[in-house]
Amino acid sequence: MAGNISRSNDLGIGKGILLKIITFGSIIFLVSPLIILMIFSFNSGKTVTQWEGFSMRWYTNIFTDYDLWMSVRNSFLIAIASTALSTILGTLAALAVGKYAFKGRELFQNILYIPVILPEIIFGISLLALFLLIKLPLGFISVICAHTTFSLSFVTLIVLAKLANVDKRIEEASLDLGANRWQTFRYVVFPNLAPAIISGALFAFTLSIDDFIVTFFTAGVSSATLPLKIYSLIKFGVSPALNAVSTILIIFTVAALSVSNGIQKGVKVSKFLKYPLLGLLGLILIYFTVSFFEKGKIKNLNIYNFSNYLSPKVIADFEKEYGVKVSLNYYNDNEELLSRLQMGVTGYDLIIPSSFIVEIMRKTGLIQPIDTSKITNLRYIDKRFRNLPYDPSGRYYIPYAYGFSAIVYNNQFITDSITGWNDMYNEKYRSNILMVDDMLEAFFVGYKCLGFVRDTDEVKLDKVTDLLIKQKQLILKYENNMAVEYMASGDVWIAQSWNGYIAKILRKGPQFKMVIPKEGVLLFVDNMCIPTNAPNKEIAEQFINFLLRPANSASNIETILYAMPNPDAVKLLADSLKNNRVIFPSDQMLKNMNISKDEGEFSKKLEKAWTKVKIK
Amino acid sequence: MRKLFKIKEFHLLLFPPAFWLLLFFIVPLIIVLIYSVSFRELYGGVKTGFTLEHYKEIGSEMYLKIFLRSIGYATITTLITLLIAFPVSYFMAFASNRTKTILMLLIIIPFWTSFLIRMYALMTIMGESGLVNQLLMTTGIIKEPLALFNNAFSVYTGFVYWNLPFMILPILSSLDRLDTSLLEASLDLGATKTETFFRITLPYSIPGLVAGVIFVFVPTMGNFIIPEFMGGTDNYMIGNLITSQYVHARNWPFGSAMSVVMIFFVMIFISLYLRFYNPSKNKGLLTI
Repeated sequence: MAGNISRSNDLGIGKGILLKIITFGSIIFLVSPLIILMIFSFNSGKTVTQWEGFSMRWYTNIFTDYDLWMSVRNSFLIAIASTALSTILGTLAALAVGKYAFKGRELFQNILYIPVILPEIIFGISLLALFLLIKLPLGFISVICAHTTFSLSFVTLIVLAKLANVDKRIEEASLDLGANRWQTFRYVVFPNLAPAIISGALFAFTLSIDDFIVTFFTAGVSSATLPLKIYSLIKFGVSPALNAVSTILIIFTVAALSVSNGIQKGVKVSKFLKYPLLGLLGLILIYFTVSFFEKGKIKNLNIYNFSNYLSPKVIADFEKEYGVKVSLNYYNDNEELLSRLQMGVTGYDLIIPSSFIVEIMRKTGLIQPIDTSKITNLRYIDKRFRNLPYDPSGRYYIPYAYGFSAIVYNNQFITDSITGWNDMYNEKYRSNILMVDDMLEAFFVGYKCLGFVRDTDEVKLDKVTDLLIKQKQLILKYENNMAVEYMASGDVWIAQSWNGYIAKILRKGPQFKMVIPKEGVLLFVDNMCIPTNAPNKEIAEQFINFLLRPANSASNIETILYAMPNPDAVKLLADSLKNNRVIFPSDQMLKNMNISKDEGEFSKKLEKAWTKVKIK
Repeated sequence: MRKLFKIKEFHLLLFPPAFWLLLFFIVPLIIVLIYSVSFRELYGGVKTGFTLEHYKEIGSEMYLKIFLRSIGYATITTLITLLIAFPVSYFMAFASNRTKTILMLLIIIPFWTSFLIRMYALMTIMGESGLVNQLLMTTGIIKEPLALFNNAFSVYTGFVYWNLPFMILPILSSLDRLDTSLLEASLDLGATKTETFFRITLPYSIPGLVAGVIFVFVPTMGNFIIPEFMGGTDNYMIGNLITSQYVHARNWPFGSAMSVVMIFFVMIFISLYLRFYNPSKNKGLLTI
């Protein structure tokens, strides 16, 4: 920090008590959430709000999390590559702008500056549009190009600022004394610029490591970075493990800050420290590079799924038996899965879409036929779930699980009788209602509330949309993954949720009650499918076959609490589970439930209506 | 001969970055512009053609409202941030070196900490059963938990929390350039403290202030994470809408049209920034 030597003035300026209060209040506001976050990383309990005792378990937990380490590795690889590129390009640009007058220089300079200020979302969208157009699959290359582009400007700005301060006369002196232009650059200009280039590179590195929004739009499966992983941890299940990750990152940030501060201040590192440090850095670089190429040799299975929808134990068993590493990524809803694949996200071997998405993906060629001769355990599947209308050939999907959404409430807060969807929207429950964030479910409930038959009539759709907008005023949030947490903490009194989550909520205490709405429910059937460009089709088929083994299926049901069309597996379950009507709908119920299907042109209108509900 | 060599060398410097920016910055923006006047395919993707229907739709009341809401959020956030940040910078600028160094460190650590982690930290303490409510309830200040989360209040808190360092640092860097002897002279010559503030200190802080406003307003306009994680059902912003058109509704043309409108809107700020805050002359934010 430049500035005046000492500001401890005798003028009495900046000494007011109010100033002090605001300043220290703001600092507490800025820092205390981070400190609390770090403290809770040592919580032995599972929540991030109730302290239960000291424990290091979350740290041991994250050190064995393969996906997490892969994302760290990806972040570093991307940051290293984009830093190298942007430092070179940025320095070149700074030299061009700083040392030459040329036509269009001002325009070029303006174009260089704009990325600094452009909202990241515009960057993300426009790069995505480019990659879609040139059909570049989203992956390492796309993310590296994206990061290089926004870092480049920062490097240029930093180097340019320094360049303006380099005394032109030294250069002239060098040229006069007989050095050629290259020598002058190499021995005079460059050493002067080096600190700026290094801080530019550090800046680029930090930007890349931290970036979420641009990466969100341009990353593929195997290129998911740490921020994407953190986002997914926040969205799909918060636990103190995330606090542990954050604590390590904050410590890393502080360390990096002091190093970069040291470099800028020109702190001399003693030789004894310098070489070991450089060596360490080199080793880390080598490790990341080698691991990148090594990864090709490890057998991998990338699954794209809803969250909490696969038992970790079953996955671990599969990994052990087949020597395969399984990576999991999550989507919020079916539409997100479809959109991501449409955008050209590649690298997934197995996806678990619902019925109507299977139909769309089959029609648009996003999934490929499964080699059923390799799925020998297909014989365990309930025949009623084979060859369903969304794929009469039955070649594109293997049924995974089925269920429905219903109402769950807490009778400590709600004493009225709840029998149907309409009962949820009571003024008394304002801001304590949770609904699932799913277009089809929302409209299903809306149509039922008005007693309409679901068809493609636009007048009806408008009425339902208006109703949903009215109901929205009472709702706390549309949310898919956190119903258990919201109900358990008492933040939410009544929720629409999927039956697997409801089964988990009911286990939290006798105050939680489930209601199957009298108007009816929407049945979903989720399926295992293999994307057309899956890199490891055979492993995916092995995994499907493995999951269908009754013992594995049973173990899976025990964890996720959703029904699976595998009668032999159900036989293996404990009686209390087998006869649990929350998990296994009766045959009578199954008969009355409708499976959603592709609605073609009408789905556009539904999407518009859903957008309207969301933004009103 | 020498002149020819010069031209070649210069081209070598200019062409790689210029080509890169053309390919990955200019061309993508043009593609977005083209998408925005094309038709959507049923299942996602773009059908070539020319239509202004997406722009017409954005002009409808519903979408204008969300634009206004986003502008409103960004404006109020900027004002609150400014009201808090200015006194903080002011205090720091005149504090003893020791105090200043410590405060600086406490601001820079959050500044460099990942945005998502900071949001997450704030989320965990603000929920209905979060630490803020726990604290208020155990001390007996309130009986019922306050609705702090999933509403406009939490969205504003999130935005201010995120942006505070981006406002404090540029203002501080401007105030730091103010020579105290000027203030001394002003006071000696009989001006009151208030007069001195308005005639010397405030004008000196303007460059940092402008920078701070731009660096808070524009990213707030485009953010979609804070409304998503900290907002309820009424806090949808323009960023959420654009994102949902790409990752949910598969309506790329409409999402692109939205982006184009947003670009034109932030252009006002970009031109302001290019005029008043030429980064090549003022390192400002970049040299913390």
